[in-house]
Amino acid sequence: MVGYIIRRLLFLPLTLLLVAFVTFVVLRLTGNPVDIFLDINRTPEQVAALTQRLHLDQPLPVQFLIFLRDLLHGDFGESLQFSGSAVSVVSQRVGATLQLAGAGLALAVVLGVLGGIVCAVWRDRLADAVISTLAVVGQSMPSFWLGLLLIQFFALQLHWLPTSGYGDARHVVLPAATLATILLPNFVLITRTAILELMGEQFVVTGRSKGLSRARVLTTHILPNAANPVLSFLGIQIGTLMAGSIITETIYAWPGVGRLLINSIFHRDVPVVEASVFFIAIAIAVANLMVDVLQMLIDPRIRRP
Amino acid sequence: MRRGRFGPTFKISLGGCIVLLAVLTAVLAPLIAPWDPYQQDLMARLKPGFWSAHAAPDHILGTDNYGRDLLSRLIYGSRLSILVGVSSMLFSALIGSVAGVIAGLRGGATEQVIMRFADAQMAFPDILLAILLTAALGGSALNLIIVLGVSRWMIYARVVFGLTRSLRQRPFVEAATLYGGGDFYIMWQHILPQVMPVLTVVATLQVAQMILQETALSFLGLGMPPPAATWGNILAEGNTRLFAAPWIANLAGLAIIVLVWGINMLGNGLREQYDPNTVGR
Repeated sequence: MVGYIIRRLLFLPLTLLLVAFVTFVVLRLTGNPVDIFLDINRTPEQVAALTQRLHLDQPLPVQFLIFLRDLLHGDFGESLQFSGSAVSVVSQRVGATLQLAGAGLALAVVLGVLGGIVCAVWRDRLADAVISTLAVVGQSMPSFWLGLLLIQFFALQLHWLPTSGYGDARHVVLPAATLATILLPNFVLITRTAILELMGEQFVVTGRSKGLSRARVLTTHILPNAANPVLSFLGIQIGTLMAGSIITETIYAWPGVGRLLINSIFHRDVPVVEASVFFIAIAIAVANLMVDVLQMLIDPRIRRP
Repeated sequence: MRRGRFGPTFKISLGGCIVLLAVLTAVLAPLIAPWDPYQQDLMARLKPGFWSAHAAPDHILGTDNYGRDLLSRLIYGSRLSILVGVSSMLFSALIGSVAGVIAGLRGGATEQVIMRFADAQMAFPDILLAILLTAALGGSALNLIIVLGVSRWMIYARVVFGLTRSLRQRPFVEAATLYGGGDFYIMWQHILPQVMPVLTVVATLQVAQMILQETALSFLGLGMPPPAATWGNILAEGNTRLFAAPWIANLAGLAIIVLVWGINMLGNGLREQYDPNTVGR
């Protein structure tokens, strides 16, 4: 297993190189940051200084090599918008993003798995129809509209929770609920499917025919086996989680990496955009690796050489 | 196993009706919209609709910040949402299917390059790529279609690749290869007809995702620039007037959710009907 983890870690730089290349190309398409960042009263000296600072006077392939060299040193350059290096600007926001993503994911997994169990046990009955339909409604819900509805109801009408911002525990409720709702429907549907598939398996039929109760078969035979498909789905959903936190942070003015990214795109703060994209890519890769290792730990059948 | 009343047929008919209604609305927009969606009337700004005592009599769903008729803007918005949703789906299905068939038929290094690239992109949030690309290229309808298409091709590539690889071993494909049929001929004559049912189901569900992505981009300010009447723009404009005129954002949200839900119902029903083994995947 250690060998597998090492091989996965070796694959990581390749993925990051691809991310680096795409980010680099795309950001060079956005136009010259010098034009956008300096105001109309700029002096030629300022233009020259910023051009040199961003290495814009070099040919593109050389710019890419410089970019890669700095990348290896963990250096994305100085932020154009804030004082300090892009890495330090991004790392100040990492905590808030992890807090929101963690709360949202935990909520989604717990409620989603419970909902999926209920749906599978009472398949095609009223409970299943109601929960499955709600799950598909949730899948169809634009998350930003859900966020706006929650703000209208809990913040503007009831005054229970703040509309947006960062602070005590009350601030995290609405953003976490919004983020959870993006993932929740998928967890309901995947758990439902995983359990339904297992219900046809031989060992489940055997368990029932030797007189075990439905509840006992469910807890001892089905649920432990359903954990694995749900976990591998969780791995796939890490990308959705990060994408969801970009939207959620924007709605609630949550000071995380996602909102920083959108903000920096509008201000053409290229170093911060690059650093944020990299943080997101690394977070996804690491989370996926953790999910894989967890899967191997709980299921010896997929323990890879 | 016993099946209840809420099976595939129920889902297909309900979803199909909603989709049909939305398509009719989009096609007939100039005939059924009571107002020009871009006509401003600054005397009638932010008027509520029929539910309020202060309603403007000739604006059933009220007006927005510039006094434009909300119902007409929503009706016209369906055109852009459906156009972008369907076109970007077709574009990504085209790239993805061709890449998947080639990877499946050729195998070897070609397969490794295409599928590893797909894996890498799969691990990266598609909306992030779309955000970066629309920020770079600008948010015209054509750009949105291209950007959304490029950000999702690998979903089709994976499905088609898996099917092609198993089809390649089948006698009729081997026979066609022996007869000297080229890749394109085999793809068109033998592979595509076989993968079409699965592809249709995936594609239907993807239209819903594309519509959501487009509205998300508009909401972030990266979609089609105002005053374009898209559902995402109406929602984003409503967001800035959430306290004074909550109905603007809410009606746009309602329009999005009804259409996307209808498409999802239709897609899920089709999947349960024609491809019961992969339900939920």
